[in-house]
Amino acid sequence: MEQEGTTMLILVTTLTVLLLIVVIIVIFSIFQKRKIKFLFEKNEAEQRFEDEIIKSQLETQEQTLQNISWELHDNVGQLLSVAKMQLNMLEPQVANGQKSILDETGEIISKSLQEIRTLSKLLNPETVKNMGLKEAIELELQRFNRLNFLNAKLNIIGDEVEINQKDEIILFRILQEFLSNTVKHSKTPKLDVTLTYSEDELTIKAQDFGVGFDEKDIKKGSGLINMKSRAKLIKTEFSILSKIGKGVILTLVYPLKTNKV
Amino acid sequence: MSLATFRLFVPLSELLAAIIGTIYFYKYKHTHLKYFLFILWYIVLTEFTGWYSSHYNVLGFFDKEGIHYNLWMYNLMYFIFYPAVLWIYSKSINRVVYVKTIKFFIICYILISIINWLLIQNFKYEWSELPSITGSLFLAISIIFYFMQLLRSDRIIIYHKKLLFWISTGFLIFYVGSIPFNIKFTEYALLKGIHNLFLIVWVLAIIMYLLFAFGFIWSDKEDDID
Repeated sequence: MEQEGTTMLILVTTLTVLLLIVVIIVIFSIFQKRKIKFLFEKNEAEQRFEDEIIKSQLETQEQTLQNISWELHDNVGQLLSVAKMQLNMLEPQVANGQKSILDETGEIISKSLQEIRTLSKLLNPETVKNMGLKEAIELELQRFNRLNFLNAKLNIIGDEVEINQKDEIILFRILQEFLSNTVKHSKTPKLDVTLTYSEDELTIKAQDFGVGFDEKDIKKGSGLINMKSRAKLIKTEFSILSKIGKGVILTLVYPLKTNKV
Repeated sequence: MSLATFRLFVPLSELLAAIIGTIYFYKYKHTHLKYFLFILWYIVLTEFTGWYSSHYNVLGFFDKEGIHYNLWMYNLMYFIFYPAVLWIYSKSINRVVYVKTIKFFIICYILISIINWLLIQNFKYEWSELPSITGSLFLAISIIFYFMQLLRSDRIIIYHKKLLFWISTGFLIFYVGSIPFNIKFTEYALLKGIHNLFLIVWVLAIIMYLLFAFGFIWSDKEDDID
């Protein structure tokens, strides 16, 4: 009898303890689930806030670029035009020996005028929108080719697809930032940009063959962070690969379906 | 099914858990949880040598009446098991107070075991229930610390994809669930042979090892920082 009593006692206490453990685990699970949900919501709100900030930053930047573009076109451009005209007026009065210098100066002014007009176009978001991504990139590469120290080339694979104009500008600005870094630092003789249109994505690949960099050293540069956060804003995959002496490859994969026009 | 056959499922589930743990070792080999697998294999080893020893009456000790005891293997196993597992928890928890408490538990457990063997119970012929019960309680508290840490953390941790969550659940069910049994173990179950009671403990053990096995399969690869 006593034995049986003990058996029962052990059985009952074991079951009670087990029940307690199950309750602990269930309570834990419920709390943890609620916490996870709360954290998700918080993260989402933070993400939205961050996106807003980046968007407004981009808008301000585009506005500034537009102002600079107008200034270049209407102010500096006009001044150069006037200079050209006055030079032309001066031409009949100049002695023959100095004519060649005058001609050269005139040519330099003409070239400057052209450069400033292209630059003004590429800086102005409106013209980039009107031209489309492909032409804007082409114009930018032509500008580099005129500098005469690198050979830039644009390849198009697949049929061109129309994409959201706002996104187009962002893609173009990312590429522009990359290209201007290439021109400044890479010492590359060659620059290839490839646009690949497929059914559901546009892949932009830009490659130089210059000095490259060590990926660890440059990760924290603000230019790179800017490029990344912009890409994230339009749900674009962004990657930069580089090794010292092996050049740099920038790849942007822009999804066409989720970012419909 | 006879009790003796059912008894076999315990070492089999142990072995299963250890094998699955080895297969999925890549998921946690860079964390402290790797030592858990070593402990698991050690338990399997003890279980099988224990079986061998009682079957052939070798490796153990004979008392004055000529009865063979291999309890020293299990006593030794738990003497290693509790400090090792507590240490794993101390390494998986960040909060200093908790870590210090667990370290205090480890020292306490070792002291209690040694004092128990020196003054109260015999290491060779008696099941050391006192250290075992305190060890279980320390383990339960450490597990609660771990759960509290998961709840407090600001990071999104998908707990059911964490290996240690499943290990902890298994531990709670077996080690805490068998405390009532442990209290009366020697007295009633072993000497007077109420074998039906063993069934509870075996079922709990099998549940624990299946939870381990499930955890090994289901969990995600552990992060480097816990």
